[in-house]
Amino acid sequence: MDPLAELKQTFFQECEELLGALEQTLQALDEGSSDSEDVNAAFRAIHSIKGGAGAFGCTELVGFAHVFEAALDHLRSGRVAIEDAPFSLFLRCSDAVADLVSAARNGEPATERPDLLAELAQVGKGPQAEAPAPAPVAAPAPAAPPPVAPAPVSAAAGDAPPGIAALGGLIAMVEAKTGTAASADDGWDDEPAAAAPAPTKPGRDVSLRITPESDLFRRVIEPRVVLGSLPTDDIVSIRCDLSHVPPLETLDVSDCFLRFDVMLRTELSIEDLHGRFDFSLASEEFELSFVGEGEEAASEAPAATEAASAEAEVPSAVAADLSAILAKLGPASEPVAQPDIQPAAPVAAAPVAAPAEPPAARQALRAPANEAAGRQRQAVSVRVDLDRIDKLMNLVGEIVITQSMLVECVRSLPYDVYAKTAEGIATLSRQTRELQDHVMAVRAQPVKAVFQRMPRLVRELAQTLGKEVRLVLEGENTEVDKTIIEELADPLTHMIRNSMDHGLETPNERAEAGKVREGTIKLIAEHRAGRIVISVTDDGRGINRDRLLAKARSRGLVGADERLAPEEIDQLIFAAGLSTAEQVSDISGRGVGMDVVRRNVESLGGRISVDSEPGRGCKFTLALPLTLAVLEGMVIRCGDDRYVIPIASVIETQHLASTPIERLPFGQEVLRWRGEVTPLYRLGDVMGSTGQTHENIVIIAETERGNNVGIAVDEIVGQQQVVVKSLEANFGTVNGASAATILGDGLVALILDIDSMLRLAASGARPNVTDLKNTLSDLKLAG
Amino acid sequence: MKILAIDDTKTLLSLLSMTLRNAGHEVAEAENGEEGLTKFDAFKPDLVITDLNMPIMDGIEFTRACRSRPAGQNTPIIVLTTENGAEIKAEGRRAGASAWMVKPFEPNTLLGLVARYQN
Repeated sequence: MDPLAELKQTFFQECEELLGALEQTLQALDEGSSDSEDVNAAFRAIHSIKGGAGAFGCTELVGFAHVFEAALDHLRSGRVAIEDAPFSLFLRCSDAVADLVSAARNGEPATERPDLLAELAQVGKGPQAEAPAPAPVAAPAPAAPPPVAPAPVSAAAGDAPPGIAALGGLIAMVEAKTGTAASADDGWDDEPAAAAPAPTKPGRDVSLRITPESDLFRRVIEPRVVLGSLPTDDIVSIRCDLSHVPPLETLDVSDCFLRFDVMLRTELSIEDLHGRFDFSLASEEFELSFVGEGEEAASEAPAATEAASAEAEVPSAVAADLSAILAKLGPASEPVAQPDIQPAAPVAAAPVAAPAEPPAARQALRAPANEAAGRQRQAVSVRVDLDRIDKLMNLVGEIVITQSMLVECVRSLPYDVYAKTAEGIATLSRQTRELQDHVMAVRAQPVKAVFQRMPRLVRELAQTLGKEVRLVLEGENTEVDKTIIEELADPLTHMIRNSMDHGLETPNERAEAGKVREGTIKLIAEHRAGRIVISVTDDGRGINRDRLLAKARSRGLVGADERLAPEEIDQLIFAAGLSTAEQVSDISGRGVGMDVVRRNVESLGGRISVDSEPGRGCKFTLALPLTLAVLEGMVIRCGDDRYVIPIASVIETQHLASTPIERLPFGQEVLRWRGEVTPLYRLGDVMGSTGQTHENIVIIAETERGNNVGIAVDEIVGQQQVVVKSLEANFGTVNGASAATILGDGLVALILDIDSMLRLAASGARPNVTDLKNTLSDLKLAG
Repeated sequence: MKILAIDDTKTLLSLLSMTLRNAGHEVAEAENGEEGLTKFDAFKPDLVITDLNMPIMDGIEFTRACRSRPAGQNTPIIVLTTENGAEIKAEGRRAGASAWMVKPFEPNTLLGLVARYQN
């Protein structure tokens, strides 16, 4: 991968984390936190995303992030009080940023969100902003929802005024340019002098002040086109001076009030530059001058000084203000019924120019931000490719095996030598165990990574379903192996969807049932008995047992006269093809829901269960092993070969001799276990074990579908943790086995996959023993 | 882009529309300002390139007429002419022309100018 692409990849990884932090802090703020550090963290997150996006040319992302950042800046500066801020809007914006990031990551075209941009631009422009004087920093803006319906503008009827399109294009242009500059020096807020050109770039610094006549738009000349006449590479910075934009009530949208200050570093002569604007700008509409050493552009262009006060805010306010203009102009093209207002009457609206922030306040604000950055640096972390950790984990597994081999070898030594060696080996095994734990800890991640995605899911679903939902997360810091984390997202998504769609009632239904309108879903993670247990609890209507049972009967899953306990009925929710939703919705209810979840969970060696209380709610509990790298298994022997059956699959073991076996007409052996006819398979026959088999034991195991089977084996060797070695990675798929492991004596054993084994038995085929043997020795060699 | 090309010199008009068509634009032709206005209403171009000195209705008049109708207020108008005087340019600007290009045109320069109006 070329370095740039690699960097870009890193950037996107960073974005994920930043987005997580952003959402988390916004969520905290939404839930009533008034911690200014949360605001700062949210601001920093979006700022970093913007900076990176600029460096990688993700223009849409920069544009959106910039407006978002400007809105958050109002909070940071105290212009908008935290308790008055529209966090739900911010959360939706954070979702939009996530969409833009993933679009940029996948190289897909970005979806523009003018709606959100317009709303964002309203932040900090509450009624108070109507006062012509800048709002004092200390005084929080009064609680005011952003004006929903933008004020209509007394514009000429007909097509959209030319200004609108021009401004739209301009935003992109200015954003793109300044975005790049920002990544270079992290200086959206910095003075133009700070945005100095790279010292290597030859040429002279030229200051260009563009003061177009107000009829620029009527000539259908967009600022974008004007600025586009300049050699792009030579542009150091572009500032838009909004100080001449009149208040909205007197603003004619067909007029251009924008002025531009452009800094160039160019080898072109002044004449050349003049030529570039030959027609689009009359000679009196622009001013070009060299910037001498140490001289400020302002001294060369006196007109610029008068705009200085407004410029303090300009770079970060440009997009916001332009968006505000856009937002306000938008409806002008669509006739809006305004019975109260005469068409020609001036319309009261907030002035377009943003209140300038006193420079002192900016200075004061910058300091804590820097401090915070310093603090952040102290929490040192290293980003490591998961592959490397996997290799490390593998190696540790090897050491564990080698060490247990050593233990076996040492036993045959004479006593005096043995005593000393055994001591060393004991230390070694303690250390390897510790090493294993530490590597596991490195791989362990808080479930936060998955939990974080859920608030968005809930938000979006709540909107789609028209329900009011509060999501409570607990135990986000519970750690679990990376392999499990990856597998958690789907089941959890499904479970939450299920709860939201079927479990929770609509606000009105809830009110009728005497509940609070807002439903609650709790997502809780905890460690219990060496497993991670995650529960999804809702306070909805619970499982409708009558309907579920009726449906199960109609599908023949339950006999007509069969009586089931209420808890048994609840478990039917995991049966294939059952959905009690009256209407199949987009969200869930196609009957592929919970049974799929159950199958996936069980394939990971986990369990899922449900507790429901009609009218009160429903709780799904998911229990998963902490890792997929190590497995608790029962080691068994059949002939000369040994196998491992995952303990999670084993229900019971019993002596074969005490078990009556019958043979069905087509040859299938069955046994009666707890009154149920259970098929019996002889492992040696199914897997083609070598050597003579003498089956003594039958293991009752459970399949993924919840059926039971008996597996006849020679002997149970023991129960132990085994390191899982992928067969696919080392050899190829072996029917009947999910993976392999290396036992203490250094020999390979297959880890059985009950379902796959049954399919193998049904097909009548046998795994190729020769191949298998080769696999085993390969595995041993390859480790 | 849909471009309306107006020029009374047939060869130049063909050359102009060929250049534009080769670059992937859709072109309508007119030989004077009046025909230009008719074509403008029918073709609804995204951009107009017009000569200045033409019989019946010249480029300045055309531009003015174009700007006075609602549909023509947002359409960039490029004047392509041999004229290069400051006075006539100022008149063109007052009439509402967006850009000025002096004949003979270099295809790539013209296309570059056109591209700048393309969103």
